[in-house]
Amino acid sequence: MVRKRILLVDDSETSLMMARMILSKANYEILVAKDGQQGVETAARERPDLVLLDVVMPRMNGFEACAALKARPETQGIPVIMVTTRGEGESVESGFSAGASDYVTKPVNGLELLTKVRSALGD
Amino acid sequence: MTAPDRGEAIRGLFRELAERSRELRDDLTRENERLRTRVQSLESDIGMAESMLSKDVEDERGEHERLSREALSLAEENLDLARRYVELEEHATSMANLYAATFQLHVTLDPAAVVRAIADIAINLIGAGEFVVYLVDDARNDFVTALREGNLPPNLTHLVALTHGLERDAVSRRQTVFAEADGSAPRDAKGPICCTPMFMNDRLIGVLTIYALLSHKKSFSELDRKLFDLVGEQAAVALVSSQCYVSVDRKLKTVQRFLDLVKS
Repeated sequence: MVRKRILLVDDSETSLMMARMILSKANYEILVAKDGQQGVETAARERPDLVLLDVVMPRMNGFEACAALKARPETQGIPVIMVTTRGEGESVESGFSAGASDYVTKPVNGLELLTKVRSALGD
Repeated sequence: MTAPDRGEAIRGLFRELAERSRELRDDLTRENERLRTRVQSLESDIGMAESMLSKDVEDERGEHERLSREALSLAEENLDLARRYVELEEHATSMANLYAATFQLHVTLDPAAVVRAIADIAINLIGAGEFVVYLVDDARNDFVTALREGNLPPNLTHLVALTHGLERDAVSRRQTVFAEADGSAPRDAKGPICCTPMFMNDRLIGVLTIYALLSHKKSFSELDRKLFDLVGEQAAVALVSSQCYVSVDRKLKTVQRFLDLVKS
């Protein structure tokens, strides 16, 4: 059975490590990018099944990266979950406006992340 | 017919009637006896039927109760398994957090990167929104502000001594101290809400002072307390190790340059 691939886009090594540990355990293949720009390029090249996108990042922030992904024909169908340190309504609304399908707040709760990832992937 | 003959005829008629009456009474007695026996038999059958029915109902009720108990037990078992699954997942997440924090603190030999790792842990694993990392400056015998995060007012880069009572309390008790005993984090707090001193053996290396959590986080969790304990111990070790490495590396390079000079 082909493992589904998830692209993690975050400039925090700690966050990447946590997400990798949580999602690898659930048998997903993990791809990594360290900023928004690299995330958009990696998504266009690798066509993952899902993108987990941090909001605060250098070069291109998460909202911009999400909008860029939704603007490109080859990546617009990939579901995006925003990972944010800002859980207030305004920030969440910006994520949905940029095309995100869901969001999780930091610090990430393992069960919550897995549930939302499975839901976005239809597992 | 003469009167005596008529009397005899009447007597004969009465005798005949008496005989028939006796026969009829005997017949009725027998029939009554037969019917009584039949009634007894039927009553006995009804009693047996009622008894059997009652036993069946009792058996059915017992079976129903047994199945209900079994269903209840399965539901409880299912609930218990779900609860244990959540506990295991939380435990796994907790272990993953502690592993990630330890790894990030010790993965580098650069003191500045260790400080960034402390900040990374504070933001991404604990959920701190505003905080300061002070390091002890042995040469000046004061504290240097190694990192500030959030909308904190401008402050001195060096502190002669820790300014808040919470910080001094944390250092004197050598443990993380919270402003609120239950770990809640009031939004309108004027000072720090939590402070973790970083000690290596008896030597104070620095402190992590938190002023506010991220807006969606209301209080510190049990995992946060473990992370503070870990940062308090492991960050101090990582800072001292990296500072020693930098110092030794600098000396080594000086010696190497001196040897190169002697050789040339």
